Amino acid sequence: MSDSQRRLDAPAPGTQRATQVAAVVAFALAAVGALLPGSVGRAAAIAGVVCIVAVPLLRVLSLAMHWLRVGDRRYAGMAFCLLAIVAAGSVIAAF
Amino acid sequence: MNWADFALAVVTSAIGAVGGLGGAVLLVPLLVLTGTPARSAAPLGLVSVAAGSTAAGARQLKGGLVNHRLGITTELFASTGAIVGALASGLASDRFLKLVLAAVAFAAGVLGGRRKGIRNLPQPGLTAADVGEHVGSLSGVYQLDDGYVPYQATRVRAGAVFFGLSGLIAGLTGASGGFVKTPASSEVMHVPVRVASATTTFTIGITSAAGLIVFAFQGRLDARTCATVCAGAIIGGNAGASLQSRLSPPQVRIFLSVALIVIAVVLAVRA
Repeated sequence: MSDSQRRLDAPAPGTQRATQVAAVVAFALAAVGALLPGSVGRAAAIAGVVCIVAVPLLRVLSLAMHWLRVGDRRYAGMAFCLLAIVAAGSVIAAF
Repeated sequence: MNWADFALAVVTSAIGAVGGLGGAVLLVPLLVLTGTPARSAAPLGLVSVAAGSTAAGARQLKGGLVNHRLGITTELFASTGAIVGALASGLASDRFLKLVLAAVAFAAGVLGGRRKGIRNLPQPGLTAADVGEHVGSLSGVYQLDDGYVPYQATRVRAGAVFFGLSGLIAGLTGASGGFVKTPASSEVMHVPVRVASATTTFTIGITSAAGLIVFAFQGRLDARTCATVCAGAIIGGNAGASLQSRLSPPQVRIFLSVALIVIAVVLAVRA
């Protein structure tokens, strides 16, 4: 194994905290959306769903940027490709 | 608020997080069995997977269990398969799809449960400072009890076939392909089962997010019901991730195998 392969990498600083906060926010919005009647409850429900859809995609984007910063272009490129595939799939489904 | 849907989401997401399955493969059949139309149950399944994945994410990052490079590499094939599967879903009958799911889940459960012991053993000289993934490769180190275990994903091309297949199944049926991904990582690519489960929990969130965007375009999301399932799945995902970090690899593997065989029986009965 080369030195490059042995170089240890950790997720970008703040990723764990951001994921934790996102889970708490999504839970709070979903709970309010499920329990509260009326337009406020419905808006909270929609925001909760948007939150859980956005988190994994933002995590992939964050990984791609982090890997670019540490010089791991190969895997950064793969992360951008993945986002492009998800986007292409959504566009195909929309039409 | 429908408390039955909430309870189902809690239980299935916990099981999904422990085994790296994703709760949808259990939740969707159970929702249909309790009277929810299949067309409405599929988006709820994806909501539970995305929420469970988000909930488990922070805890798994803390333990250094997720190999993100492995997740992104394999997700390329799974996402491509999912898009192809979704486009082809109109050509296959519902009964055929359920039987395919049942056969795959049963085979994965039996094969995963047959292997005994731990393939990757702790290596002297490694410390907590070595835990994580390596730049430019699909390798890393994770903590197992008091030891530190190095691993390297092998047979990536063969694994990619299974990941493409898992995506295809997910696209065809609307359930998460996690029940194929974790055994494929563990048994084909020789990734330790705890790393495989944690990495799958991360990647099924990506697949579900893509699926939910499609369902949103199709007007198939009921915000209130989605919120109920989302809240339950976050609680279940947290509980499952907590259990996952306390169990040994053989325990996780046995749990996974039992869950897969139960899923196979449920699907076969439904077919």
